[in-house]
Amino acid sequence: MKVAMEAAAVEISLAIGQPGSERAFDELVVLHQARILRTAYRLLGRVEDAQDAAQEAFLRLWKNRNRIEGDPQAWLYRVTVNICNDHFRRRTLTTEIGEICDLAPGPEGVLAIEERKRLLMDGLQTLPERERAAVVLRDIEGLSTRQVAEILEVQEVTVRSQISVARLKLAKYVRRNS
Amino acid sequence: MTCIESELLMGEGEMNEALQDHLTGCSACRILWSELEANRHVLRAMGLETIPAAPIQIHPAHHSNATPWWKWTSAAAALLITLGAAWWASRPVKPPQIVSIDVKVTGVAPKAELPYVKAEIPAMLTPRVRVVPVANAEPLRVKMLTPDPDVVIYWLVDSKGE
Repeated sequence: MKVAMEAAAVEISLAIGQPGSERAFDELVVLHQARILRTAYRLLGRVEDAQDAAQEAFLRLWKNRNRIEGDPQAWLYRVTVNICNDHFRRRTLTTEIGEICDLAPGPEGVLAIEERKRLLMDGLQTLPERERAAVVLRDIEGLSTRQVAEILEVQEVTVRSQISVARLKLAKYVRRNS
Repeated sequence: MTCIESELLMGEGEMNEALQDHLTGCSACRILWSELEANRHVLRAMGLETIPAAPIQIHPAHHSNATPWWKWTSAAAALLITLGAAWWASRPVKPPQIVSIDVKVTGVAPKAELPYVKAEIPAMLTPRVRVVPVANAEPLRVKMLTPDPDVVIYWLVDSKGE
């Protein structure tokens, strides 16, 4: 299924730069929008912001369609991460603290999945942008370390280190806030 | 293995015998490991979720590559003006016009048929010196130079003053 989707993505992406490419582009949006939206949501923590970021990413894809070769997935992820990082930086610190303090403490022992999810989402917002992007792409989106390194334009060893540190920070955050 | 060393391995998600031994004897690291594992599963599950949001819509205006009408109209006007100015500036200087008149002589009119009109010289123009006719004198030749060096006008005046 995944291989078929990737093949379809390449086929569509090849048609993007050609005349009458609007339809090919629409198909590409349909193919990628769920994961781009999800990545943006995990990075930003708000559906509205994620939708804006995803929209912006696809708009940039359309504008740069003639310059992108092959499957645009990595390009889309990279642009999405950059857009989300810019968006994240613009946020006020007050808002972030307010949201974190709203969390209700969880029951002792094993946390309910939904609550852990919520804590992880909030924990993600406390990470530095590079670590946040690395853990979202690697652990949530399930990309390989090599793919994440390509998207973030860093060495694989850097990604491994960032993910390792981010996981430990998240685990400590969940423990501290549950 | 120390707790710090085991943390590094746990962060990378690697489990080996040394780490396993450490976890057996360290409850703090064991708890951390179970947290990491629980987080890993939840994060993976989050990757399978679909975010409830309206589908992405790229505005039709962005789809189109067409330039706004005023842009191409302005560009066309500017191009026309530039071309016109360039043509005007580069046009060759008009050479002096040479007019040639072909005169076809069809015949010579007899002298008698030509009307003879004697012009009267106004008194104020009458020379005050007395003209003394000279017999058998050569006709007076007056050479007139014109601005055109190729054109010279000769006046031949005979003894009768005609």
